[in-house]
Amino acid sequence: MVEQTRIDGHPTLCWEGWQLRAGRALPFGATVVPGGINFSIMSRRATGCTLVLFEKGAASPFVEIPFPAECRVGHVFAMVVFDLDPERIEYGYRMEGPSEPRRGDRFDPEVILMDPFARAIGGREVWGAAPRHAEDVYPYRAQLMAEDYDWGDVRSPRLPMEELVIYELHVRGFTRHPSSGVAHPGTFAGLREKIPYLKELGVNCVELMPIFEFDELDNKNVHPESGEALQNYWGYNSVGFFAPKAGLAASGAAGLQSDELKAMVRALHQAGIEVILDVVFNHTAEGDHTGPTISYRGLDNRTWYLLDGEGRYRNYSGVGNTLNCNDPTVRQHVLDCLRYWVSEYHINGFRFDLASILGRDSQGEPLENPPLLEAMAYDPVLAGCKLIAEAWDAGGLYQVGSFPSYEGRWAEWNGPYRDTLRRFLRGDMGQTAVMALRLAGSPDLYPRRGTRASVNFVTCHDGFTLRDLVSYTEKHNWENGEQNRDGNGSNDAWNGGVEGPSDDPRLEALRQRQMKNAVAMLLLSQGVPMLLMGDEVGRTQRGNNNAYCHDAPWNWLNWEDRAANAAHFRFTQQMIAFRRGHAALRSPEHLRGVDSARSGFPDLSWHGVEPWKPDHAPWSRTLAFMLCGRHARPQDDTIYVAMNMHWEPHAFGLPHLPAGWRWSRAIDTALPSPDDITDVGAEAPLEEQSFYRVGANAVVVLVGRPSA
Amino acid sequence: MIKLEERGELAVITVSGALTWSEVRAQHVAVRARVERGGPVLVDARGLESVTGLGLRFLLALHRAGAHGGARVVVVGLGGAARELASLAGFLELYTTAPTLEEALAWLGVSEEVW
Repeated sequence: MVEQTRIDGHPTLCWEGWQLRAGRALPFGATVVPGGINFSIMSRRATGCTLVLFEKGAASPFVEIPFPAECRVGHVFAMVVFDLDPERIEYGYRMEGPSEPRRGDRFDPEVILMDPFARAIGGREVWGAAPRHAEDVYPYRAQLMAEDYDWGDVRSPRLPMEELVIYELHVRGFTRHPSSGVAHPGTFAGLREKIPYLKELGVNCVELMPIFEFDELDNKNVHPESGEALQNYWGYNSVGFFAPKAGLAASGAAGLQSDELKAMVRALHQAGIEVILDVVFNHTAEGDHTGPTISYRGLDNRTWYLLDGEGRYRNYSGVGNTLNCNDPTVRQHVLDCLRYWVSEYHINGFRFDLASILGRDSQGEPLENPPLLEAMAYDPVLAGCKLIAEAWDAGGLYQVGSFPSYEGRWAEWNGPYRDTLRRFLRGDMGQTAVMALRLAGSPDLYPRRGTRASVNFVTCHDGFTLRDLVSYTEKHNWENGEQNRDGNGSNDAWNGGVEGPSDDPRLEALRQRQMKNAVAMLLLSQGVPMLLMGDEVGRTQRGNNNAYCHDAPWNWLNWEDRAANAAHFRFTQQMIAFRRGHAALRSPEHLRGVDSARSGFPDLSWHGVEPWKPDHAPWSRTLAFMLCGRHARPQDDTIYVAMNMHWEPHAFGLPHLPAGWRWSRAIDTALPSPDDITDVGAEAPLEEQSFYRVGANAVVVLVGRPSA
Repeated sequence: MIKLEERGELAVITVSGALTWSEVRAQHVAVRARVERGGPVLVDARGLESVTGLGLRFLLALHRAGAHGGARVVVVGLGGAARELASLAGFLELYTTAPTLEEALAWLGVSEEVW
């Protein structure tokens, strides 16, 4: 509500009975001002602009108002229209300008364009519902949104990066399954209801797969057997960057998606859980020249997209177009967007999909010092938030370890961590030396950035789930309608001898143990661990490693899996507790293998089946390390980890502890639950203190501390 | 519709029908000024049929204005879709609500006789 006391709250222009006034160029977008709404839209090359206003949901506009000459500031069209109800209108623009595709200009005043600054977008308010109008002249409609949420006394947790245990989840998939038991399945509200589960698991950060408005119906493929249309379930195809997806809100049809999302963030913060958004700035839903014109293409194609000399879209994203991220206008737009999500929604960080695109210039060449990445790193509003890069793109740029970091501001999804861990886990030869680097926080990749640069993961949305990683060697993507051509063919997975489900109890025991081994390795590694939704309960995608298009029960989290996989849930939960209980596992800096604390032991030491003799021979499948807790802050137990990925057991000689200290077993993945992991602090000393027999394909963790 | 009336020391704000931006815009200044004067305030939402986001904000703004001015504000009879939306938006935990008029008056410490 804006008080009617300002002196600029009166119209100065009139157009066919509509009261107008020259508007303010900033902020961009539509803003409620005294007496009316300020509409501001920019275009470097447009010669004219018309505001198109609809009653919410109406098929045709009720008025179209050309911007008068007085309402133009530089490249910005800005106008106040009086006496509009912000809750009842939807708005768009028609842009005039040259239509010369070979030069890159694609203006078409026949098309109504969505405001890229739209805070809310109508048209897909209910997930999967057919569009309101079959041939809508304006399918994705810009709306206004109240921006005065009451956050009460709730503040962000502001956790240090190295303290995070990230849980990557799909908002809809998390609670859409009927077994979730929530009042509003598949929504922000549903997720809010399940916060106690996240607390029980022990994670302290959720990374939400895309929640910017996208069109789940924009997938043209069909299921090869049923013939049913497939969806864009994951949502890596943004329609607008400022609007939360209404279809992910139970209140979306009532236009309260923004408030519902904020209520969810507030409740997560109240529970000590941070929120990271997976954001897709590398491309838009407009695709290539055959795709729909929704917004950017019609506003100023040459500004927004990377084009070649013939006006064709450069495609470094693999989905048709590439955003021109380092153009000054686009760069400012991305920054405005991120600042908006941080300040308006209290978001704690971002994971940037195909982030290497954000470092390309207007010709598509990688920049040494990309202005956008630098601006994000040093932006005052973004200063407290996490910046995580998926440091590659579909144009062949691979920058893990070399992504510009700007004094450590940027972290990376550590792809080599995933690959190495998987190979070591399945017993590949020649992995122990590089696995040691990954366990240590990848100092080879991030020598000056510390462990916080490395977001470690075994699985993520892209690829196999953990259960499938140990159950399938090959991908099974036939249901995606692309003859199994899609998805990564190189998964470093091992099924244990049988492809897919098996009723062989010995094989099932091996798979269960391998899942525990992977979780243990992840949570024992220096760096920032990330778990995939459902891996704690053995969620399967039936061998599909690219399940982006399936809004189906088998692709949602089945909450009954928890009871069926209670032992694995408990193990994961206890592993998280073990990590959180031991500061030695969360060093922000790389450990150097030296005894700077004069404890008698280096902070990190490597071992093999014989203590102090690491075996990095090509045929070795055994690896052990010890963390001296007296180097940790706060001081911690000494932790010894033995990993045997050989198919035969091995006795590991244990390093001698100081006089009066004893080794106690915390974890042994070869043991059945609940003996496989012990509550932190409740570990009993071992009778045999000189060696420990580590079973085949098993991980053992001992803690050393003074005997009571 | 929004109606403001005084019943002794009690201010009664009745919201009924559809609570929308246009209704709120016409009334909020006067209503808010009254709430900021302090004293017990009862928001009677028993006749509320539908509410928009700005309508929900109006109710919340009354609470905030009340807290600022030392008034005690309670919403009575918020039900159905309006209550559901308030809950989804996370507003319900910020309002003080009462299911019945008697409970609302009791919470305010006002005799039922003023009604």
